[in-house]
Amino acid sequence: MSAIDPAAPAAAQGESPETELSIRGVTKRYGQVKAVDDLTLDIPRGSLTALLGPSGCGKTTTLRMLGGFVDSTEGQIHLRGHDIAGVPPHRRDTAMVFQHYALFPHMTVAGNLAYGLRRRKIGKRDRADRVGEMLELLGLSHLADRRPAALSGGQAQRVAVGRALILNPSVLLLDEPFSALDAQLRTSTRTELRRLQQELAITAVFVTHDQEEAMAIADQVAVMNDGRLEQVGTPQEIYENPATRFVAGFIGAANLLEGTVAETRRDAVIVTLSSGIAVSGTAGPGAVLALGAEAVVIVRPEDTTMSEPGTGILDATVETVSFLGSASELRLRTDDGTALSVRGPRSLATDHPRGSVRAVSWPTAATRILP
Amino acid sequence: MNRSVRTTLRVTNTAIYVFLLAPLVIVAIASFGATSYLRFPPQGFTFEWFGRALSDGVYWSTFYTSLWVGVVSALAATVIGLLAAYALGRYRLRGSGLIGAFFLSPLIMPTLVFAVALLIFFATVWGPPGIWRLVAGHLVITIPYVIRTALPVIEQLDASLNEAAADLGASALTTARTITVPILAPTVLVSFGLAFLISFDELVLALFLAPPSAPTLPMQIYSNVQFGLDPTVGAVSTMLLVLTAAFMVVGQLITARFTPTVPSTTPQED
Repeated sequence: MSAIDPAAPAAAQGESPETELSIRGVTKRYGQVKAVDDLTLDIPRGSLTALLGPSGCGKTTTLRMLGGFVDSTEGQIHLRGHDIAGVPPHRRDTAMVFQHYALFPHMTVAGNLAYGLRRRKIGKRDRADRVGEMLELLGLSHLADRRPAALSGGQAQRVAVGRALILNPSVLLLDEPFSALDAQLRTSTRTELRRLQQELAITAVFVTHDQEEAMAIADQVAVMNDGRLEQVGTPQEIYENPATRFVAGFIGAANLLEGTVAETRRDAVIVTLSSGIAVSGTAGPGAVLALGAEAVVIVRPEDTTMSEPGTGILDATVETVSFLGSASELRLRTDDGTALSVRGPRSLATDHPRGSVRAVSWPTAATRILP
Repeated sequence: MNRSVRTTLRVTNTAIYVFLLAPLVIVAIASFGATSYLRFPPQGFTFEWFGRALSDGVYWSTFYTSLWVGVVSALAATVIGLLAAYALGRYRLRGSGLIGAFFLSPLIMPTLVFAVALLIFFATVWGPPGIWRLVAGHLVITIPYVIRTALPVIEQLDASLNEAAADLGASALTTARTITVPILAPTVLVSFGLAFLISFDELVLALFLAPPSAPTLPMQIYSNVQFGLDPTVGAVSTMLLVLTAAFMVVGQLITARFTPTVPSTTPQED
């Protein structure tokens, strides 16, 4: 779990044959507002990529540009090496699953699935065969004659995916595919989608604001904020080596400790916190840390350990204790007011009651330092 | 809900229905009475007044006039009202609140004031010939009903349905034919029916705007009751009642045919 490779592999400049979609310096402007700002991202063939970010970060606009529903202001989008600028949605080899599924309410499930085939003038028998296969694949055969209004959320989602897949697109685009489902269903549905994507070996891109969702199923996560790409990598890479403060805070929980750079060595950076305590860690990927510059130390709550006061990195008082079932989470505060979050086994909750003073420690290897 | 509250509500509801329906029932029963004027309870039993009404050329000609005015003004109101509702519901227009209020304003304007205003306008500035004046008047008062009926449906019509259709290879025209029109069809039918019924039994505008040569059925009924309760009026009213009810039932059947099936209350996840 402790991959300590801060130097992330430099992105290939040329398009490799494994690249399905290549987004090159794409910007989308609405008046003065840049919804997407100089985005460059490669999407490997057969992969599941998550566009992750808070609302308004430009992830949906990016997806809509891939689908052909929005034209980019600048930059290029290549699909298997061909520029697809200005190509209308139905002429590009992408298929979209809309946020609220956009099932045609006056048609049955089978009718919805057949819609794209009809538009492509596929004969009646062929059409019935392909609809039948798709119903089978999605486990919806018994619902063929239902109207969308009589489907559950999970069923509706599958019909929407099936309607997009039936035309055998190269790329499946999904806009917040799980947001309309209740929490319980979300987990099983995303696993199901992942299974389907891997089974069909189709390239898929989905938009989400839920970092857990992105981490759980994506091969590649592209974190966006304010129209810009903050970081792209495997879920593990971005979790363990966040490239920016935004990513560190947005992906999972993190303790962010402010300080100044006191010393830079080949393998470590030492930061003096405002309380005067020196903390060492590894520089984050691509981080430029000048002596005396402001820096932030990032420590994941689950990497911390607790001990008797004076025996750890810093001392703090337990403020709140939360028992979460499979784990416990403590909130502590140091004398200078810095909040710290600690996550550990269930026993943590009983061993460290509210008001007790404890030392908190963490391994240098699990510590990232960012400007 | 509290038991006594529920009882009170039920009693009130029943009272309201009785209040609304009793006159209709009484007229229907009275129209079978054998006396030469409408009375309740009726004396004797006869179909004579129905026979007389049906063989009366004036009733027929005024019925045709009302039918014609109703169909023409309802058609026009449906087209104009739907287009207006589509524009108001689908696009963010500058001043769309004002435009919406303008289209709905006939609902709050007293019909009498509007009738007088139109009469003066047609007489002094310009007016279409003959019966078209009444059609124009009915058009204005029925458009608000079409907009009120269609706007919520159009607002709910998800824009991504059009995008989904486009993504699957449908042209704008095909999308309109296969998605937009079928979804809006029940609304179109209901709007048309509503506009027609409003125009068909409208009296005030008709009194002011219909040419003397072409009175409408409500005008004829009105003039017949001015000189005593002619029992043929009761017969005509009863027949209209039956026609309207039949119209509503057919409308219900058609809309039910188009409307998506009711969602199951307990969705089964398999």
